[in-house]
Formats: sequence, structure tokens, C-alpha cells
Amino acid sequence: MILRVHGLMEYILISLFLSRIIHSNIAKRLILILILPYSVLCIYDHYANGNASFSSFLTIIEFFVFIIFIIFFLFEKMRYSFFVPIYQTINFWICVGLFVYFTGSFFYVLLVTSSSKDPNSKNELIIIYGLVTIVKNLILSFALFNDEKEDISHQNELIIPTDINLDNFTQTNNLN
Amino acid sequence: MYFLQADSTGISRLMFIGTLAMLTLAIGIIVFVIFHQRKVIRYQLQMKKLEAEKQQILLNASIRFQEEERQRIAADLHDDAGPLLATARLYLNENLVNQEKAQQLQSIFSAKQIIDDAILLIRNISHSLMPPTLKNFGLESATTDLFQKISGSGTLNASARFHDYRERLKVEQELLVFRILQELVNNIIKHSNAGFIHLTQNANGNSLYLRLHHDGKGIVQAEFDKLNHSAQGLGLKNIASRMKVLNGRIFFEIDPSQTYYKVTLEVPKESLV
Repeated sequence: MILRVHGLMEYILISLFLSRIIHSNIAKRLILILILPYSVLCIYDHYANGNASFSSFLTIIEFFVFIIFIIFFLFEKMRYSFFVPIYQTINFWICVGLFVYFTGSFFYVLLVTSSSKDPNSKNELIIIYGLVTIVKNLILSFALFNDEKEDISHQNELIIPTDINLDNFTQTNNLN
Repeated sequence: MYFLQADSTGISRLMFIGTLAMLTLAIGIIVFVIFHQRKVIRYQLQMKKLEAEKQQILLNASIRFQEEERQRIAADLHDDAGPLLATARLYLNENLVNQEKAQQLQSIFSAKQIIDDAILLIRNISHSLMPPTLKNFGLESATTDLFQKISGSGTLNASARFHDYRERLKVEQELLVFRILQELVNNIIKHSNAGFIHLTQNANGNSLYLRLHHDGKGIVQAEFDKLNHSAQGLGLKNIASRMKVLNGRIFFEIDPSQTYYKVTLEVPKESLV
């Protein structure tokens, strides 16, 4: 029960973080909407599997969703951020930390149930997972040392408000 | 799901290779994003540099224009006002007291006429620096006056209509806008062979909009930008530098009907650089 609540809280918090840093409104909405089916899955998993300690299935879904959205965030930054190098922003390093964690732990989560009976492979899995977690924490710590610089975008096009009339004129003969 | 049922060595190997592949993929994506963005930023910096160079050209043009204006005023004063006053002085020389009364009156009358001419000349020079209509009655009156004079010359049909000019711009802003309009109208008269020019003004929020329509041969924004970057087109560079001072924007386009050209000015109220 506690693990599922923890998993759900983790999912909600990371979703909120990603929805805040991604610019695309559709992606933002999708991230927030996906919280609902994930919560339903959590409840279903809780009732279907009882008090089983760890749900590999839910975590895989969580990791998969976040990997996709982090890639989306990176490509969005790559396309629309022209003035401040991406590596000078805190959000980028938080995303890199999470990205490394999700990709590095993906196979661990996938195989942890299968390897639970064998202590040797379980130990190896824990070592790799531990290393990935340390790298993630180092990257997240590094993020805190970054001085965020504002991204400025310039708008050069002349956009005239539609409610003002500049084209209505009659050609009168004023010639003397 | 065969791989999930593999033995312990298989699981370890799968886990190792899988994790390595995923991390490589992740690092690859991150490195690609960083390098691609750096390339884009370098390009943007290059564009900024070009923009700075363009600004330098505009500044030079503006200085050159000021110098030309000074030279013109100096020439007007030297060539016209100077000889007039010198002639008046000749009429009023020391010998005047020794002349006959009738001749004295004639000399004084001639000197008065010459001084009147000099006053008129100096007034014209002064008016060319700051039109009195603009100073006393504002942009709307000065522009309408300008367009009436053009129309009165009989060469082309010119009219101006101000829809919303209840809130006047600052005097300096009005002068800059007026000079831009003068330059644009001069260009239209000189180069476009237009049959009519019409000016429309409107306001929205904190901006003032002015649009010139004419049916001659005009230019579009790309041509304006090109001329602005080239050594030619001092008048256009002056327009651009004045717009820069006004913190406004200018846009040249052709109407979708392809029958006339439009030049639109956007001037923010109270934001002189």
C-alpha cells in the first residue's frame, strides 16, 4: 500500500514538474490527463495484487511515459531555445538526472521480479541500480549550482490589431 | 516474455546490456541536443552581429544626413542670406548721409526690401527645420497641410485622414514621424509615378498606426531590408534610423489585390529611445 502511494505521489510530482517546463499546451494537458489513468491503474493493481511488495508493471509504465516526455522536452528546447545554452538551465539538468535514472533503471525494474529468486543476479541488479541512482543524485545536485539565465525571444513581425481600421479610404479627387 | 524466464547469468547479461544500451541512447540524445542547440545559438549570434553591423550603417547614414542638412543650411545662409544682407549694407553705407533726400529714400526703401527678403529667406530655412504648423497645431494639421499642398500642386491626388488622434505624441516624436512621412511621400513622388497617395491614422492601446497607400511602383519589406543593408538608399536608412529612435516599426507591403502598395508605421506612445 505504502509503495503504491509512494509511486503515485512520485508520478504526480514528476508529471507536475514536466507540465510546468514543457511549452506545448497539448503535451502539458496530456501529461496532466495521464495522471488519472495511472491513478486508476494503481488502485486496480492494489486490489488485483493485494499487498504485493512491488509492481514492476506500474513502474515500467511510469518510466516509459516519463522517458517519452523528457525526450519531448529536450527536442522542444533544442528547437525553440535560441539565446541561452540549454545546459545553463536548472530544468535541463533535472531532466537529465531523471532521464539517466529512468533509462538506467528501466531494465532493473523490468527484471527485478524475475531475478528475485536468485541472490547473485539480484545483487548485480542492485549494484547497477545503485550506480544509476548515485549518478542521478549527482546530476540533480549539479542542477542546483546552475545560475538560471532568462531566455529571450524576439518578435520582429509587425502585427497590427485587427480591430483598427487602416485600409478604409475612398479615392476622392482633390486635384486642383 | 522469453527473456524474463532466462537463467541468472542470462538475466545479468541482459540487464547489463539493456542498461548500457539505454544509457548510451540517453547520453546520445542529450549530447545531440546540446550540440545542435549550440550550433543554433552560434547561428543566432552571427545574425545578431549582422544586425549590429546594420545598426552601424544606419547610424552612419544618420550622421551623414545630419552633416548634409547642416551643409545645406550653411549653404543657404552663405549663398542667399549673406549676399542679401551685404547688398542691404551697401545701400546703407556711410555715404548715404551725403546723398540727396530722394536718393536717400530710394536707398532706404531698397535696403528695406532686401532685409524683408532676408527675413523671408531665414524664415523659410527655419520652417524647413521645424514646420510651424507642426509645432503649433500638431502632427494631424501638419500632415493634412502637407498633403493639401501636394494635392494643390496638381500632380497627384493626396489626402490624409486621422481617425483617432485625440492623444498627441510628444513634440520630438511628432517631428520624427512627420519627417518619416515627408521622406516616404517624397520617395513616392520621385520614384513611384503614383496617381494617388492616401494616409490613414488610427490608434490602439499604447500604439499609433499610420498607413500610406499609393498606386505607384512601390517596394515590399524584403526590398526595403535589402536597400537598408546596401550602400544606396540614404533616405530609407534615415527612415529606419528615425524609426529606431521612435522605438517603432515600419512595414512595406503590396495589397493582396496587387493594385496598390502600403507602408505601415507603428509608433509607441511615449517611448522615445
